[in-house]
Order: sequence, then C-alpha cells, then structure tokens
Amino acid sequence: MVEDDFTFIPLSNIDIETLIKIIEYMKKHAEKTDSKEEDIKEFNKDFVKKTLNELFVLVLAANYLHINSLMKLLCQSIADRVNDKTPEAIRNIFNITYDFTPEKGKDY
Amino acid sequence: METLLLHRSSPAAVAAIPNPNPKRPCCSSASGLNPSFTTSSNTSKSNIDVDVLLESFLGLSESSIDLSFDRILSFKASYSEQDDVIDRALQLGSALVEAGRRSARKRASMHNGVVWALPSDLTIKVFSLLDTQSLCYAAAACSFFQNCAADPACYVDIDLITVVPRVNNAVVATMVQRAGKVPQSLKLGCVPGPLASSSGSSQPLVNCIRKSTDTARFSWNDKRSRQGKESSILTRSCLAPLSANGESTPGACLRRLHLYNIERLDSTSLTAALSACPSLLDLEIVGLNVESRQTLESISTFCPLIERIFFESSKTGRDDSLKLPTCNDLVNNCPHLSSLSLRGFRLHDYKARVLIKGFRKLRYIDFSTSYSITGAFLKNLGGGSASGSLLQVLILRDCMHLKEVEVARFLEAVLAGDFGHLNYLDISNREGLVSEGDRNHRCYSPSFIPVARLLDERPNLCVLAEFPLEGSFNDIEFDSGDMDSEMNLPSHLIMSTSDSSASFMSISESSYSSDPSSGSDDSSSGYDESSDDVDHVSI
Repeated sequence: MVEDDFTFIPLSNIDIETLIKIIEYMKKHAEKTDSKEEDIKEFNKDFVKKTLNELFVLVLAANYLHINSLMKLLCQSIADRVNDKTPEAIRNIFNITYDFTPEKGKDY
Repeated sequence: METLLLHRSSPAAVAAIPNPNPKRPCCSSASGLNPSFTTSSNTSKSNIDVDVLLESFLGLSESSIDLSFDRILSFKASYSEQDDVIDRALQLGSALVEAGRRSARKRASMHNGVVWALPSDLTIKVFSLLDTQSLCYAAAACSFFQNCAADPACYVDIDLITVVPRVNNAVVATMVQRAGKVPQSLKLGCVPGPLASSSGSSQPLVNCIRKSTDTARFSWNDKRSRQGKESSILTRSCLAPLSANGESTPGACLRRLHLYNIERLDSTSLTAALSACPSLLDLEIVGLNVESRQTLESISTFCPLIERIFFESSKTGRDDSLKLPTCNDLVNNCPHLSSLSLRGFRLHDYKARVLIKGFRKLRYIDFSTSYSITGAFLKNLGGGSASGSLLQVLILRDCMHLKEVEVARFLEAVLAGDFGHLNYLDISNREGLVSEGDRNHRCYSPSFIPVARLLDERPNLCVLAEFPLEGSFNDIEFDSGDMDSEMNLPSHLIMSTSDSSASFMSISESSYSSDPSSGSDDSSSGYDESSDDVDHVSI
C-alpha cells in the first residue's frame, strides 16, 4: 500500500534483527565503488562472523528476498564451516545426530 | 481352558504391534499377562487392546519378563512347543527393537531438522560449494545430508585427486553417475606431496617410483623428490563411466579432465573416454603410460573445441611417438588451442614449428624438459604472419639440447619487434645451454642475453634464466594455461643466476646421455662435470 511517501511491504518471514543485519549489508554494498573493494572485503569477512543459527536465519531471509550476493556470501561461509571436516566433526559442530539405518552411506 | 495360541502369524502382524493393522488379528506375546484377548470384530477396540497390552508390557521390569518367560517354558509339554515359544520371543523381541530404533531415527531426523534450519534446496546450494572429499564426509553425517549430497548440482566439479591412492573405479563411477549430465570438470589420480596448482607450476609432477626392472630413475631434486605411489586401484576402465549411458553420456558436458599418474590407464581406454567428451576444453595428463601420438590423434578426432593441452610424460625423453602427420592433424582440427604444454617428450624442431605456426590462437607454450629441441624452431617464427604473434608465454625450461645461439637469435627477433605480446620467457636450465661449436661444452652464463636493450625496448618482458647450481629454483607461480587469463607479471626484467659454488646436483648419466640417437643431431653424449669454468654473472 502506498501512503504519502512511504510504502508498507509486509515481511512475515523475517524478524527484526535479521532485517537490520540485511539492511546493514545492503547499505554497505550500495556504496560500492572501485576504491572501496578492500573495505567491502573486510566488511564481508566480519559480517559472516556470526553464530550458525544467525547465519541460517540470514540465509533464509536472503533467499526469501532474492538477494543473490548475500546468498552467495552466506552459503560460502557455511560451506567453509563444513569443508574439510570428518563426519564426526560435522556432527559435533552442527549438533546433528546420527540417524542412519544400519546400511550407512559410503564414505571415502 | 484357553490355551495360549502361539500360532505363527506372519511377521507383518508382529510388526503391526506398534502400528496396529486393523485387518490382522494380533497374537499375544509370551508375557505374564493374562491372555484374555479376543479377536473381536470391532477393529478399533482390538487396536486399543493391543496398545494397552503393549504399554503394560513396556511397564514390566526386565527381570520379571525373564522369570515369567522361564515359567511359561516350563509349563510347555513338548519340546516343539517350547521351541515355538522361544522362536516367537526372539521374533517379537527383534520386532520391538526395530520399532524402537526406527522411532529413534525419526526423532534424530527431526532434531536435525531443527538444528539445521535450511531446506534441501539451500542445503544443496551450500554443498555445491564443497570440495568432493568434504561432500562425501558431509553425506556421511546424517540422512538429510546424504539426500542433499546426492543431488547432481553438487557434482559439477569432481576432484578425486589424492596423495595416496584411495579412490577406485567404483568411486569414480558413483560420482559420475550422481553427477548426471552435469559434470564439467573431472580430476583424477594421485599427486604426491602438496598439490601444486594444476596449472603453471614448472616442477615436474610425474610420479617417480618405478618397478625394480625399470632402471632409469629420474629424480630432479632429491630433497624434494616427488615419490608417489602408483594409483593401482584406478584401473583401465576408470574412465568408462564417462561414456556410459548411450546417448546422454555424462562426458558430454565435461570441459575439464585432469588425470595424474594413473599408471594402468592405457591408450584404448583414454581414447574411448575422449570420444565421449566432445566439449572438452582443458585436458591435462601427467604420468600416464599412453603414447603421445595416440592421445593427440584422439584429441584431434574427438575434441575439436579443446583450448588447453598439458601433457607430461612418464617416460621422460623417451616418448618419441609424436610424428608430423599427428601434428598436422592436430593443427587442422583444433583451431582453438591456446595453451600447449608438452613436457618431457622428444620433440624435434620441425614438429614444434608446425605446431606453433599452425595454432593461430596459441598464447602459452611450454616445452620444458623436451629432448632434441634446439631452439631452431624459433627462427623466423614471429614475423609477419598471424601465427606466433599472439604468444605470451614461452617456457623452455631444462631442455637439454637447447642452444644458446638459438636463444640469442630469438631474443634479437624479440628486440626487433616480433612476438609483440610476449611477456614471459623461461629458458632456465639445470645443465646450462648448449654452446656453439663444442657440443660437450655447456654455457652457464646468461651473458648472451642483451639485458639493457631488453629493458629498454621490452619493459613488459620477464625473462627467467636460471642456470644451475644448487636447487635455488625460483618457483614463479603464475596463472597460466587457463583459457583467457592474462599474465600479470612485473614489468621489469628478472634475471637471476645462482651464485657461488660450482658443485651441481649430480644427475644420473642414464637419464639423457645414452639415448639411442634416432635421428637427433644434437644428442650430447656426455659432458664435463665440473671442470668447466663457470661464469657467474650476478645482476
């Protein structure tokens, strides 16, 4: 709905904290110019230093809002946390329980 | 008296205890309960009865079950009846265990679903960023991950390179199959030691261990000798999955294929594999026992789009199979080739010339450790015509028969304006270059290189001319060989020679001295070890 000079867009899937973080990201990337490449890289690195749950919520929100660059950044950071870990370690980090039937998948 | 009916009902009925199937009458288990159980026509009532029964059973203590069971057995008249009771107990017991486990798994999965909040499409996105090994580990973590990891999107780049042989054919087959039609890149084999990036390193990646019958051990630098093991588990048919499936072959989209040290792979299988990969752009083969001629023939027949070829021979210097018709075929059929590396082959100048002149888009050439090549092919190469003038990188490292005189002439041509795009030249040589005239005399100094003029006229050119001595190899890593990457190199001239001592690594004579001279006019049959006066020019 449009009223005067602002528009309401209901976002039922995203809570306020996540939205604030997303807005922070978007603002930073909106001011991107060539000279600020380093700056933005630093920002990105700090941005992904969050807990796993925060990252998950952010990914879901970014997915819902179709923000591709943020999606890529977040997926990459999650992938980095999964990368180079044994199954045991993965289960520990992500608090996942073993739920296979006796014929487990093969691992290399 | 109502006897305990322990008829053998079907296992389905037994399993129906936790999920009561209203159509089947349940039998009672060997518990101490009063079996006042009726197969009533009212199905819901029987379900409730079963539930009540089971719940009461679950409320029993283990010792009471134990004792009750023994009592029941003792009342049985015949052995067969006792056997029946025992069998039933075992069956029902395992059914209960299975039911419990199944529920435990369900609960675990639900817990995982809460803890890992991403739906499967996002999980697949994350997994597609993992390397192949980690992907398999993730798949082993829980069933949800396993399902996500089976999605073809995760298998676009399959990298199965290992330091020790661990991968066998079945693994390759599984991966390729999972990838469906999607695989774009397949890397296979063993690379010992820290994996150098698959392009650009000038160290030989060849696996050096041979069987005891093969005496020509070839090891460049004993300190860092790359002694790998044969990947004996990858056999000839390891690439067969690429051509499987009739029309929609997995190999159809494959763009990059890198194979390292797969000793059992032979020419036939390689040809078959190449025939399944018409979109191949980048082929890298190191340490395979295939003839270069056959491989190049296959490439020219099946892979016309190829842009990068990197071969490193396992039989350094002895592979003489490259013939002129092959070169011609290759040149005619593969016009897009922009990067060509043939390391460790016996390459004659006229063949090199055909290759270089023929490929119009050639930007990167690496003929390191080639035998018989003297540099004569560089004569008159860059002038005028289109070929040779796009050349950006020329590497002729450790070419035993490379002549100083030819290099000097080449540099003159460069100064005169040819090879306008050349920005990297590497003529380092562990044994120095062949001097004019005396073929036993090697030249170790780079003084023939007109440094000052090069600095003036070609400031972008980087020349690397390391002449031996002790292992002070300059590992310049540069991003090359990929289809359209430009060279980013310092815009000044780099020249370095190693200094001081005159003792150089003793290389076993057998590696290049006693080559049966098959038409090569430059085989130096020996050289003076250390009595040459070695000039050292430090710049």
